[in-house]
Amino acid sequence: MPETLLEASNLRMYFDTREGAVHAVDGVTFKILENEIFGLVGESGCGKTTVARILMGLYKPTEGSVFYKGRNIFSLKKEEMRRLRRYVQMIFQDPYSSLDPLMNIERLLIEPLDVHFDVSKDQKRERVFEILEKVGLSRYHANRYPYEFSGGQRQRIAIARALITKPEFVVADEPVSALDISIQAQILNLMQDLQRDLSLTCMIIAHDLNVIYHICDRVAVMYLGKIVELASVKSIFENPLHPYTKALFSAIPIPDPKVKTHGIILGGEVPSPLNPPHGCRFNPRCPFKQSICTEREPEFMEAGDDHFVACHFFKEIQEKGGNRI
Amino acid sequence: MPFLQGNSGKRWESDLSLVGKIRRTLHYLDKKVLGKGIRRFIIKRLIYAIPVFFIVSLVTWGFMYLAKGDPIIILTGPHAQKELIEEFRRQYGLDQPLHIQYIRWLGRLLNGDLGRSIITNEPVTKMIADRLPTTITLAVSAMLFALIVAIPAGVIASTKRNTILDYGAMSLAIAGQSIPDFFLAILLIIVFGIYLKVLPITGYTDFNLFISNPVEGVRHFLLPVISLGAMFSALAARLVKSGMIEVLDQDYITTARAKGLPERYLVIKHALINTLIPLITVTATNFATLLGGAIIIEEIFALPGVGRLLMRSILYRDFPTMQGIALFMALVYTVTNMVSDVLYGLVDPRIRVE
Amino acid sequence: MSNQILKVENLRTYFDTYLGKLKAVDGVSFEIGGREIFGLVGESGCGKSVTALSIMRLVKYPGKIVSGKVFFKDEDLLEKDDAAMQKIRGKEISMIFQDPLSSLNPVLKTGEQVSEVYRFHQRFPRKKSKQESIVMMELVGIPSSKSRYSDYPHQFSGGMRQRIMTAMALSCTPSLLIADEPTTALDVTIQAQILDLISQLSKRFGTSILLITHNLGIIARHANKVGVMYAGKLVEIADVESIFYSPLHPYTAGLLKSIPKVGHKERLNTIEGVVPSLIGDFKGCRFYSRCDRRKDLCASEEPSLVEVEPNHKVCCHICD
Repeated sequence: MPETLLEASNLRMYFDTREGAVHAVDGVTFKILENEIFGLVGESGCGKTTVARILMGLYKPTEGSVFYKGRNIFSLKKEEMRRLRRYVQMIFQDPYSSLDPLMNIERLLIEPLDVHFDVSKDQKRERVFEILEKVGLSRYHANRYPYEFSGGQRQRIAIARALITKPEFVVADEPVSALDISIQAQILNLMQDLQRDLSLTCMIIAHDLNVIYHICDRVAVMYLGKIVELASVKSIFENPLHPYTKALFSAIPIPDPKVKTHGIILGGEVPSPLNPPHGCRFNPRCPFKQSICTEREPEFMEAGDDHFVACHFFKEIQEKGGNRI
Repeated sequence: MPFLQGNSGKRWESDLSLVGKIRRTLHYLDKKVLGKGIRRFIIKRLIYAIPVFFIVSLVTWGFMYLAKGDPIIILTGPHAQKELIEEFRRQYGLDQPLHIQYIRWLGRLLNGDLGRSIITNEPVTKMIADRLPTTITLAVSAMLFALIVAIPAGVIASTKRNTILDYGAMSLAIAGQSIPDFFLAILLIIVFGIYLKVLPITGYTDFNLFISNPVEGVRHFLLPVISLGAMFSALAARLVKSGMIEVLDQDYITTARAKGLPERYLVIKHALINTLIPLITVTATNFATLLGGAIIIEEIFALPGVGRLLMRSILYRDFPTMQGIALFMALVYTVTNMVSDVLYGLVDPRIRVE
Repeated sequence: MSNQILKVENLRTYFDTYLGKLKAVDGVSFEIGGREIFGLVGESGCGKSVTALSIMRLVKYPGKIVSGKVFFKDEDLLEKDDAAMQKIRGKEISMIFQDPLSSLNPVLKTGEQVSEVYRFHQRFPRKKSKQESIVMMELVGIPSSKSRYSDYPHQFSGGMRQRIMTAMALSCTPSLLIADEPTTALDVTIQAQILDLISQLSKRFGTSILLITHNLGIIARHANKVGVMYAGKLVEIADVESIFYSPLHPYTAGLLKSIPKVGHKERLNTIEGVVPSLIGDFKGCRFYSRCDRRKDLCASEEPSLVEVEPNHKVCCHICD
């Protein structure tokens, strides 16, 4: 029975803006188990990036807590938190802006070692070479600068930087969406290999469901600050329960001409988290909406074998053969 | 993304401590007094202008006491009797300690009284008011002249790049920026005033000339306006050209072309407006320089404007006049900046949201 | 008169860079028929966008179309003068671009940007142009289009902006619509809306579409015929099912095996190496260095696009 590495409990993150309070994250709870790859899916404004930053300890949530191996990370002392960061690392989306253009690769990679380890420069340099080779580059790349590399290579460097401190948990925020198709494949394979070899626990944030399916074990679907469905990848793809999940899936074009859509083209706009709708947040766009959906928020409950959903009528929708309206 | 501490939404609404009360009061003032839109914008700018004035007044005070020269001595002559000098000093309040002088001055200022000139004893406000039309006309005309020449020149240079028109315009621009305005003034005087004798070089006494005989007024102003405006014109032309080149490279211009819009229409309606936006800010800042340059131009062409008044008051250490003009300039700059911000908002709808 | 709307013959567009001639499009030929959706697919730098701009003759300096023919309804566009092209752009051939935020003029009202097309191409007076634009905006799904006519681009969401671009492009019911990555910058559910909108309206107006994208899923769902581009060349053209189920060119095959697909968790196939430089002269097949089925011939002689099966063309020596 795998242990829980990370637990997010009732996370809420509100931002004060001139137009009012933005409920970026509004009650998010989930667990990530050791050695699993956990996926977080959603469109712009759903709060997935904010959740990632909270898990990394970069944002202090308005409410709620994050437990790493049972300890609440926001109750740690400054020094303890700093030591924790060694084990929790992040890979960003844009390989062109995530690397400091004024630092050469060696400096870029040595920096985390300088922060967390007290060993000799030579030992650090050896570690740099070691990690470069592990991500498919060579030690001779160490004295070059980021501009000399392609997008795919830069993303490898970003991965190297995240892995150099031997972390236990890595968050990857849209790691391949800025890359070309053939490079995506290389990076995805690399990430899978590394995760296996180094026994990492990962959280992948992506909007491409094909990528999520390929690489993740479990996935959470977010909408407007809340998780609307959470299940294993297989379970959620074979049997999506939440109407938003269904719409999301039917919107992702599958690279296979014979696979026709599920039939739901979602109307309306991606909403702004400034003024979330009353009751279930998805109700303005939901094809199955009833009056209760505008009054009461649905509970996040278990619908089956480790498959959770927040919808008043998921049972009825499923019975009706649910993919058609 | 900054590293944030999570904040509390609107928790201060129920915060009963002093901080909470202050926040609520500020919020109320913000909503009621400032209001929205243009009104809010103008009021905010005026509020910001107040500390600016205080600082300007303090600075001019400070500088004057660093400057050597005693106005009383200038007034009475160096050989006057000691008691006479003391008497004058007392009359002008110059025997009081510095901070008292400042406060009294400030009090008068808030009543609209800028004091009287030590030299002529005229009220400073009247002296400025008499000369203001001349200077404003000069500066504004120079600015308009500059823009009327620069904008078409810049547009042509950008659309007909690497042709004679481009090189010609840009060479003139470099010349314009390199030649100091007083030198240009003298050159123009020599050519047009002395050799060709088509334009007058002296004879303008006051603004009434424009009212009684507008054509004469314009003739007197032609050379000064050109001398003063040439530098800014050159700068503006180069800015318009580079701005247009950048804008013409933008995606929305490609879209406009893809729609089949005629090139000429596209350049003016789609491209030029986007170039004007940064030009507005540059014009506003340069207006200050123009006013500064007006001082020299007024001297050369013997135009009785505020600039000449300032020169005289500096020479004679006429403190009240100097201060009055300095403060007045601060007011002009603030208003100019505010106008430019408003214009900016009118042209660029994205800014209006603020 | 054939049913062909567009016939591109041996198009070459080169860019004059200080490193040499960059051959962005190097001998591309394909046809689009009436009411057809032709998907042009390839990775970044393959030349698909430059092809589109070349058809519209909107290639910017230092790029230049050096040779080839572009027949639109049997007339060569490359022979026409500027005035004639202006009449065609926006009216007979329209284009939608990738980023709707930067593709709309930020300081002009959106409605006006739509009505411009009516004013200049249909010669409608201002009032009528405005009315037609409002109707068109409603048609593309912008609610309360009458009041939103005077709004500015930044006041719309990304999906709405792309709808406005669509309105601008389809307002004169063109025969050909070129859509260059129309949904790449949008959220997933909005992507589906926009693509749905474009295909429905095109069907209604009888417009053919040249759909340019790097997303094979979009191609699978919307295209009838597909052209695969690599390093400035078209390496394979076939109908959409043949491309996906019996790809002939090694690049196409490799690409299809390297994309993650829902329902499959096998390790992805990768294509070794990187795209070669497009600058300067090239000997042999462009894909040679990365091909897993190459022959000696491939290094010395450049293959040409040949129809090896009915309606299936490949540019490859081993497929001949």
